Amino acid sequence: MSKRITVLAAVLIFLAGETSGVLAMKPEETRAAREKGKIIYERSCMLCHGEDGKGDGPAGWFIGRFSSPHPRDFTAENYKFRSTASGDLPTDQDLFRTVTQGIPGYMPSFSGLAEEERWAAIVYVKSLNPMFKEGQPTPMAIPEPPYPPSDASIENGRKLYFKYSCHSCHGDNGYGDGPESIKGNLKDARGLPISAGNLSDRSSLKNGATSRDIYRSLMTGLDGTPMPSFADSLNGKEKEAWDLVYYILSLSSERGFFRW
Amino acid sequence: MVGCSSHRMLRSGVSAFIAALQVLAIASMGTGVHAADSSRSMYDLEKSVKEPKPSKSLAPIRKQTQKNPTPLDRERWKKPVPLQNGIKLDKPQAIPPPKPVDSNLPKVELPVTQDTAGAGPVVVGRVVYRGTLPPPTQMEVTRDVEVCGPVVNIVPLSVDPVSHGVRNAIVHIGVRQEITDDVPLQVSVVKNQQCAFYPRVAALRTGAQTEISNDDPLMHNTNMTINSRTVLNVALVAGGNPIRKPLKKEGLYLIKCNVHKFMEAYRYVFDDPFFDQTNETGQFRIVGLPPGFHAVSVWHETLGVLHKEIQVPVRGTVTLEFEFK
Repeated sequence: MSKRITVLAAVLIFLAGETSGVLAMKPEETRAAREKGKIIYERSCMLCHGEDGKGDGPAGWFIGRFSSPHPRDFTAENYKFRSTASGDLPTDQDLFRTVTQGIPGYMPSFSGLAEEERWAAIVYVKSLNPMFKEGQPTPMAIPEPPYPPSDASIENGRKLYFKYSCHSCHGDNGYGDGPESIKGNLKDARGLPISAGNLSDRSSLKNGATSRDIYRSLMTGLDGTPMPSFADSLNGKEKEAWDLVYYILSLSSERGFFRW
Repeated sequence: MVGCSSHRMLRSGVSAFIAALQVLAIASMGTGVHAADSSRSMYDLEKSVKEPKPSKSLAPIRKQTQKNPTPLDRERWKKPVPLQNGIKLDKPQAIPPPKPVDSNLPKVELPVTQDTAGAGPVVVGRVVYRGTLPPPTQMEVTRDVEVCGPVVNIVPLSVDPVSHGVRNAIVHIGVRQEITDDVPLQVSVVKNQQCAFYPRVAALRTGAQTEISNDDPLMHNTNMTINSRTVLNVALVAGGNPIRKPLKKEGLYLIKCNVHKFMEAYRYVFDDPFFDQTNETGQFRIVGLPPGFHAVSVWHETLGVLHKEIQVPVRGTVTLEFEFK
């Protein structure tokens, strides 16, 4: 009897793991999918992003009124969090990642929605910008860290941090208090004042705080903000790129959760 | 005993006061209802109580939009009309009705070369400004002084003192028909040199490559936007390789360096080849136009936009003059 229960429990655990681990397939971008996505959008996104997706929802009117960030205008604006080159649109996976993870301090995670619902909302959001019809954007290669961080790599990253003028916005110690940020010289694409990210606080890293997330932010830049893409400057300099990533990670205090 | 009787008197006084208050409250309710409509029955009274009162604070947001304007509907809360890259431009659609070129305008004798004079229509002209020249904008440099200098002089308006010709104005003729040609696209350059973009203004065809380079011994970033949308934002380290990017959309591109806020440049991109940039004396020359009525537009980064309608013949030269006031 106890053997049967054990087998049954093992089967149930296996099935539960399988169903939660399977990534729901992105639906075809049909009219039916858009209509389904619109219902989810109006329920979950409209409050900030507005009825027409212009970033002017009832709550969005208050957010980012006088300083960045403002809710995204899905009809025309750039996307900050991408795996594609500067100026390009994000991939579907980029949008799914942002919807699922949220943006720390600003946009909530919508992992509470079923995967099918998140995909449907993405299909609808994409339909608001005609540029998505021009073709699927090509993502950059975001590799796994080739080696673990070391004192030497972090020290080299510190030199590169100053070489690439990261300190002019993010400050000498990464507190986001660089001279350009302090003087209020930084503006986003809307002309709103924007402050540099505090690299000593992981929750300030809106595009994610793992080493791959920081690598991706460095390579793609954050369009619509002063943060440029370093993909061309670091082209063929993989070691420099990862040393810089490790130094940025070392600035945050959560050393116990050092994920690389 | 005395204390006990006074205590009783106090209690009875308080209870009498409360009773008087209750009576007053009931009386005021009654007069309130009957003052409104004394002929109402009990049923009407109940009905009127059940009817939701139009209250701003309690009505849901969706219902408010029907009667009361939401913050978005109110005029003073509406967002301002978006400027094109922060520049206040006239509406491009506001083209005046077709009319012949004004003969009263002072004609400028412009050279027309022989080889193109017989090949097709040529539109030549000049962009002039006879007003007072603003002084150059001086901006104090707060970083990288050894390369950028202590002060940067920005002279966006350059006018020839003799001919009053405006330099770096972009003249474009919209032909309202699809253009198919095999003219090779030229590479446009954006050079970071001594903390300035060179050239400051240029015009190019859609799809033409833009090569961005950095000649300075320090880091710049080149942030190109069109209608507040990022086209490219790249870091350019000292001694780094040039970066190429095609400009695929027609329109006015603003180029800025976020590291040095005084660095600014413009690129105007057109779908057709009928454009030119004025030279030091404000002259322009556009060839290869199909005959007919065409709209001519002139843009300058500080003077704004002018429009005209011209009739282009099958052969010959059309002379134009645009004057910014």
